[in-house]
Amino acid sequence: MNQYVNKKFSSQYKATIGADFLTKEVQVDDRLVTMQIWDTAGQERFQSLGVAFYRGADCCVLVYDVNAQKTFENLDNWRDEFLIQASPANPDNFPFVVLGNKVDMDEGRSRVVTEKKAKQWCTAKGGIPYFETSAKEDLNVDSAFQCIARNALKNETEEELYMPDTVDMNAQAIPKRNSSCC
Amino acid sequence: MEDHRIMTPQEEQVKWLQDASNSVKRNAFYMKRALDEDNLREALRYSAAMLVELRTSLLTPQKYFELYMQAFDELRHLEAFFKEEHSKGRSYADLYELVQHAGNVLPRLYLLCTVGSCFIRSKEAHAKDILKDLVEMCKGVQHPTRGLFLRSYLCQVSRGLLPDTGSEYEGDGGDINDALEFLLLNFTEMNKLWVRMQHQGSGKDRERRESERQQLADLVGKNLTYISQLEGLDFKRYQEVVQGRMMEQVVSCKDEIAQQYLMQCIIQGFPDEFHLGTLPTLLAALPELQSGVKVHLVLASLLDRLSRFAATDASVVDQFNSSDAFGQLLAAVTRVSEQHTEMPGADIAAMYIALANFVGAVYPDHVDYINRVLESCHEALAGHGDTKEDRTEKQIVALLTLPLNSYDPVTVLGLSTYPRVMSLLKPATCKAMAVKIVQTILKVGTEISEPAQVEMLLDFIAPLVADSPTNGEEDDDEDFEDEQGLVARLIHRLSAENPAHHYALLQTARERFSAGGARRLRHTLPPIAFAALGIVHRLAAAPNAEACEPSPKEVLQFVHQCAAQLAEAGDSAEMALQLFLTAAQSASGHACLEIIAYEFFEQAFILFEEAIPDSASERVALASITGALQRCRIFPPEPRATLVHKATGYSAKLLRKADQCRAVLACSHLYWQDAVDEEDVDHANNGEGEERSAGAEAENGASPLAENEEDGSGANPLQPPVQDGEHVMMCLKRALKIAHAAQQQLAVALRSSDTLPAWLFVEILNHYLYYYDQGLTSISASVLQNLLELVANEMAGENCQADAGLVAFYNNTLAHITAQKTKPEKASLYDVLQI
Amino acid sequence: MVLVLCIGDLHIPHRATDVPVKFKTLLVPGKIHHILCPGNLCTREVYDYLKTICTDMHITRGNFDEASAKYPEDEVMKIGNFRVGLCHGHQVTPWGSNEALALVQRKLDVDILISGHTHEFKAFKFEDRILINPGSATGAYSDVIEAPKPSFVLMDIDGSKATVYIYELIDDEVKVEKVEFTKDDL
Repeated sequence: MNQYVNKKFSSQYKATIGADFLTKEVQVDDRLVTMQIWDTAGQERFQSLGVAFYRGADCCVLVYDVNAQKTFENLDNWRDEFLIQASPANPDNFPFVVLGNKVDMDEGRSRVVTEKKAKQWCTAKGGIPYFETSAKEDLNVDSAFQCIARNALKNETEEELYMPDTVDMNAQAIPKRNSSCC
Repeated sequence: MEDHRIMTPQEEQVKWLQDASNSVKRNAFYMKRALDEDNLREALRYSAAMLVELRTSLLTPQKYFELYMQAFDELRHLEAFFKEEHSKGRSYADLYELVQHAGNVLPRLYLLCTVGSCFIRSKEAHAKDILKDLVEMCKGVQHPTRGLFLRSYLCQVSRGLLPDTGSEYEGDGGDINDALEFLLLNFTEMNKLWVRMQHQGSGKDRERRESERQQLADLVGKNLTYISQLEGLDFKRYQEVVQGRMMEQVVSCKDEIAQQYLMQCIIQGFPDEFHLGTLPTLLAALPELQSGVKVHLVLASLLDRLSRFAATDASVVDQFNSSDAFGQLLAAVTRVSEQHTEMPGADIAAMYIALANFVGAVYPDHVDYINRVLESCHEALAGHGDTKEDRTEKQIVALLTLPLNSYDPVTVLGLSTYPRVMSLLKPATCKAMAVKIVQTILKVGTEISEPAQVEMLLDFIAPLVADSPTNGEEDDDEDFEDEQGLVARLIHRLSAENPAHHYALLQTARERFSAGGARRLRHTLPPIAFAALGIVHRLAAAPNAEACEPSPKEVLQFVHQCAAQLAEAGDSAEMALQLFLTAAQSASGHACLEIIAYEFFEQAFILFEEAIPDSASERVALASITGALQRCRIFPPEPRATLVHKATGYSAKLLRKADQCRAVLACSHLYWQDAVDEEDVDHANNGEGEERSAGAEAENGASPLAENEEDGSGANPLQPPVQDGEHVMMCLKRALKIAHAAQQQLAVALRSSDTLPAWLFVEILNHYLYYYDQGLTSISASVLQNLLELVANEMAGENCQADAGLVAFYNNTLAHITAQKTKPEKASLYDVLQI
Repeated sequence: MVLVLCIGDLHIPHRATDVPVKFKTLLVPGKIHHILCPGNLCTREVYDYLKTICTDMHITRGNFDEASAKYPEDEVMKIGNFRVGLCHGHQVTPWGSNEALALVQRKLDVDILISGHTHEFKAFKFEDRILINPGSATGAYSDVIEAPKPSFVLMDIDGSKATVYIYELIDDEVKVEKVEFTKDDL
């Protein structure tokens, strides 16, 4: 996330306390929209207030580490948990995007989750778009977020009771979960 | 929906949130309509009305967070409008002024923060000034929950706007010091609000209040994440400014919840290098914490990080060494336990566990560090009141178990402090610990290869090896069996390359186990005996077996003693009998020692006669004797005849006729051994005792003068395979006789319809066929044909035809004959048979 | 398709400490349908361990099993289209003799006979029937053969087809051999 918004990357491990939050203006076709990106704390002990920011999200990005099987296996839990907590109107069609991160590590030698396996999972979950990224090398990060923005826009809903007819795109929340540094 | 029942607190929360949320939605709607109409004043009025909902004191922090998120989203519309206004020429200074007209302090400050962030972004004001202004003004809200959320809003909207190093707001807008100052001040203020909460309201609400405080923790901790993410935060600045300010706040707030949480935040939120570089400061804080803080948890997370760090890069361990990280850590732990005498023993032990874990992961070569950890732990706990409490004991056991897994267990057990820490345990726990030790050695697969190590190990597991005043007969039987099973398995871990050394280990073990009484010996003697048989095998395979020290004979005598001791132990006669038989085969096959082999069979017969409890066991025992004897080729005709005679004799004495018949059939094989090729015989006889010496009968012990023919430890030659057709026939005929007798016995008992005799006849027929096939000349085709007819007659009976199993057996037998007829090499034998 | 684990002559704790770790990692719960054990476990602990792999166990009495365990001398069952017999083998003289075991097969009327005792694994067709000896799962000291290697057998029975996998531990590496039988060939 920091790579995408600020073009910065740090390999030092620093736990995120509470949910982290960044904004980024992004051009989608002819529209300039502001994306709010929320990054959940990876450690549960630093999630004391719950995940109220899931609500009203327009897209959910699931990130796993291609070098750690467990993070891939956890995608199911994260996805289910998101759908429960965010309770979107149409859970079957809610846009997700999956990123397989850290593809740069050891030049791919330490990789344990194959692209095929990840794509199979994405297909099984209703055709979730999948990107292989390296936050460290800034590989595929922009194109992934472009896709995220596009999918989020498709999902713009008019759930608000008092919502007027015109929609202001400047206030769409896009939570992004992250279990690794991105 | 009128519902007048009393709501649960949860239902109340939902309802209150719903009400507030509706109000936010409504006001937001009007706010946005005003924005569409370009009516700033109205928009501000409605936004303030919306924000007033955040003044509620009814909601728990998690519910308040939901409301806050809603308002947060709505404020983005206002923010966008501000930007629009600005682009139309309105100055932010103007807006910054304007929003301060809101009547209520909370809405006013939310609006001010919102405009403030735009103001900074526009660069019309210096970031540092606005930030300083806002962080000061927020002091206007002193209600903990509201204040914490407001300040967290301030942080959130100023994200990316701090004059951090390299940021576009650096320069006139300030520098890293201003950014840090802003965050540190906000952190300090938030922590104060958070701590103050603890002291508000009555004592009976304490539980609820503490749970609410836990929920709010991340708002405070968030500041540390922001600090940690600053580009300008290098190690020097962390060491000189940040760490000191954070630690000062943590220590001086004297609040358990805050200290526990913030220490975790600092440890998790900042990079490893920082911690390693400032370890003394970090550790110095530990004894200063309130006594209720779980220092062991804090320490465990720090050590966990450091050991992961060490795993990434070998040079990290060098850094640890050059700063004596271990020494510092040990000193800190010692100081904490000295300072907090009221700390529960379990928690003290837990600190040492964290340390032992770290040592095990980082210093695989420093088992001496473990010794120091244990020593310090012993000191800390020796005078402690609750050492014998279950919780504490559990931790001590865990502490003692840990290094067994990360180092060579035998070395760890040899540490001077290990038994001292173990002595803190109650006798019953010592026993549990002994079980753990054995389990670990089995799991790790450690080899115990020195007699002194065996002694030491058996000292540690003494509660399992012998009775003590505290663990007597009251033991649960099943537990006892399990424990002894473990000890028995452990015996296979006593092992050495050199057979003599291995033998010494077993001797040491046996001596110690002998003190354990019969009920333990049942379990421990068989593995010792089998391990010894393994040694016999290795010794016998050596080129000069008789010259070995010990000789195969000596070790076999040791096995003999074990088996004899087992036989006396009671309840183990069958095991002892089987052991004698296995040993007999070793003596016969591997060591080629006739006299010894004979003695083993003798012992087996004695046990068979005296101690086998039931007929099923008798069958097993006799079948084993017959099978073992059948294979032995060490006995010259005369002694062999004696043993075979005994076996057939016992067969005839079995209780049931069917058992007799089958046993006699099995005995027929004692007269018929497989032909062996000559090479095999030569190989077996390549020892020095080419001829069986007269002196072999002497029962003198092993002597180093093994080449001496008179000595008796020399190997005896193998005999040619026995193929005594005459005696085979005698057995087969006897089996037939017994089958007929069984038939008569049944007739007398008016049970002629019983098919048992027919089963026996078919079985006998099969044995005839077996020997016929082997080329036994005494069985002529006509003898076999007669038997076939006899069996056919028997089978014609109605009773037999009704017994499906018997019919199948018979048909299978006939099919077998038919199949043999089709084989060209057998055709001459079988063609003449008519079926 | 039925998976049958044939495993025996473990002789724990008399002759061995445990089933080799590399075997244990293969023998995971939930895959095996039946366990056929010719005997010599020798303790309840081993029984309990086997039970964790599969609860449907058939065990016959070996010469080192205690009478109290009450295992039968032999047992016959039908798996797929095969009749399978189980018997330890210490009572079959001469030990390990194919002809003597064939006699037992005729008596029990079985297509496949699982026996043990010698600690020497085998799986082959003999006189139109199949003889299987899974060997000793711990490579325990044997009266009959020199230095046995740990081994066990897995049978995959699919109707009239039996695929027999022999697992053997050689130099701490698991080697697998496969033999196929069909009932029509018998």
